[in-house]
Amino acid sequence: MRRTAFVLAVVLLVPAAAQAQVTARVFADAGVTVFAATQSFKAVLGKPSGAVFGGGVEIDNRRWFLTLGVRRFHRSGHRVFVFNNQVFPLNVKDTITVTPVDLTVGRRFRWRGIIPYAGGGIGWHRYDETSDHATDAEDVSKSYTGYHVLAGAEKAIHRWLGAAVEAQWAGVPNAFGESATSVGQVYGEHNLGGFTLSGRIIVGR
Amino acid sequence: MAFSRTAGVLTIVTLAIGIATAQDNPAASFRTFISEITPPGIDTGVRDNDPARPPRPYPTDLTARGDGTPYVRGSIIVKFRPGTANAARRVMITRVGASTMDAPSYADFDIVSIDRNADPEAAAAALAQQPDVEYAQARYLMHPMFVPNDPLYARQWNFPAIDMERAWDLNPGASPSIIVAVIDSGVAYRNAVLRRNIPAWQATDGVNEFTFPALGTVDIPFAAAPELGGPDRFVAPRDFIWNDTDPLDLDGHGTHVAGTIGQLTNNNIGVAGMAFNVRIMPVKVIDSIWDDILGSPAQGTDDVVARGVRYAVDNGAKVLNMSIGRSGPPSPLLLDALLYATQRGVFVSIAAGNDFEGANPTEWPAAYANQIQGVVAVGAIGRDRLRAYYSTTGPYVELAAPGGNQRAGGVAGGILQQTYDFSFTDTYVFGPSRYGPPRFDVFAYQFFQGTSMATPHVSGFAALLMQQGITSPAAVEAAMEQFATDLGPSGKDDEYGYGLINPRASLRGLGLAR
Repeated sequence: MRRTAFVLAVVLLVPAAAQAQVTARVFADAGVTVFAATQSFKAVLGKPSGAVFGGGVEIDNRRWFLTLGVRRFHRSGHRVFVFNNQVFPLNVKDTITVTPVDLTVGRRFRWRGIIPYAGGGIGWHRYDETSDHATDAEDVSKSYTGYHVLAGAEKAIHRWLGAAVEAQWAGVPNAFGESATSVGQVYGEHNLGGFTLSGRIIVGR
Repeated sequence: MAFSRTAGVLTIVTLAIGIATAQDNPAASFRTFISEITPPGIDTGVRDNDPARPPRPYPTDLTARGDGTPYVRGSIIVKFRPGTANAARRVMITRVGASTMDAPSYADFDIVSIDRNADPEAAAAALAQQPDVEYAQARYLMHPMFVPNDPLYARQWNFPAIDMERAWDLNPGASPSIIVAVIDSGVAYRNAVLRRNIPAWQATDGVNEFTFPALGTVDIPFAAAPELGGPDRFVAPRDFIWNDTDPLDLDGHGTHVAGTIGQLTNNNIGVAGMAFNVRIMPVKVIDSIWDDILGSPAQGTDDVVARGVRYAVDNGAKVLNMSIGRSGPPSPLLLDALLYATQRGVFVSIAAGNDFEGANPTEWPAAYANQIQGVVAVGAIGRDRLRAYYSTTGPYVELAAPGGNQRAGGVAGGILQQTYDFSFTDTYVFGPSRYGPPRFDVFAYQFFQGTSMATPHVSGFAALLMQQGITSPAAVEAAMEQFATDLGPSGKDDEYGYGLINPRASLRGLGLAR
């Protein structure tokens, strides 16, 4: 899948690069992710959403872009027991870290001084879960491949500085919920992805 | 001639003791304590070099204070439908030859006096046919659920068998905010000296009759079990056998059970307990041989047990341990009492029974367990993780826990806890010539086996789960069952229920992914 994405990016960007100069920019973003596994995240972390922070690099030729971005979600809650839809938080701290690395290809447009854009791609989602007094075998540290689509709008603030808002939907199927000690199994939730709304600062011409 | 305290062998045949029915005023004690200041209990250590003791007598001998029937004579239990007028009640009881009626404390039923020569089961059946009677039954006798031991040498294999060391990492022994009621033969929880006249009594081993001489007025010393902790450890003690607030253990069963629940742990002394920080509520509902000899006003009948359950619930217990039971017909008042408990957020664990090699009868109140979420019936396994030879089977068995199997594992295959040194309590064991007053202030570490010993593992486990955050008794049961280690045939079965308890897994619960 990684190879496919790379080939796709090359196929899209090379013709574009032939027509216009390719530039590189860096960005930092912050936002909120609402996880698709709403009930599972809510059970363990108290709510199904949380802040994400990240950054990345973008190569574009004014019409097409290729970005490589990384975000990080990190939050602690408690392990739980669920009975008759009632969640009992247990006195065992549980910490979740989700780190998606996304490769996105997209198209930029121009409309009344702002630059709407849309794209999609694949992501590699690093998932770490640790809890108090757990053995190595009980902690989780795995990566899953997913996909995403996104749309946003960018506004130039200065010659070297832009701002954007972006909405992204990511799907990471079958990432969890198979283990007998996974709350995902209780709720039938297996998707590690979700919806992310973020703001972005872009530096570069 | 050696005189043994063996099941079905020793039968107390005559005691000039009246059995009171309901006793509502614990201040009106039947006993006189002449001192509360006594030396601390004496610890004689592990009884691992004694000659093997004969099995202890339960279940049959304690049913024998009357005439060997499994119930007491002279009274039955009845519950009228709500709103039934007193006049109508009296008419109905008169029809079955009953005379007076008494409404005991901590009960929603009445005790009706009948002729001592009448058949209580027949009278109850007749009364149950009357309109406005919800149920009526004889006053069946309960007994402790253990198959005792031969003390040889010490070792607590039972806690590693359920991975308790790692479970205590997650929850080190709960906290004093959790109260576990030990509904049993009492607990060695305080120091006292009881002055009491000990009359002559007779017994039989089935062949010979023995007459034990009167000992006159004697002072019987009691001491708190050293390893159960100080007075702060105990909450709202209550004795429904003597109708007072001094549920002193005259047997040793309840003390052993209390030890498995909450024995002081990590103190470099003795042995460990499951939930070593909880507080214990001693509720005495079972009479022992010494209670009978000393003339306790009540026996361990269904109604007494039901009142003990309600008392414990009303006085703050969150977990009830019932290492007791009986065979025979069901008991609606016990069902009511268990529902009363769970509806008020109290979890109950009950011994499944020890009579597999008998007729493997249905045991009550254990058999109600699979009807009520928040009540579990506990079977026993031995050190080999197989069902113990005595452990009763049936569809109501929901969980298994270490109860010991000394047939397969030797003496040390039992469950080790501190209780009385029986050399000082069972003075009648060697017959009238060596008979003397008992002492309840000398302790030893003894191996017991039985579903009685398995049950407090589950009670302590429940206390840990409640401390951990699972507050509903139904959820506590579900957490135990969901994470139990399946034994025997796959899935729930009649021998092990859902399997061997796995406290660490339940205390750890569910994560997002694992």
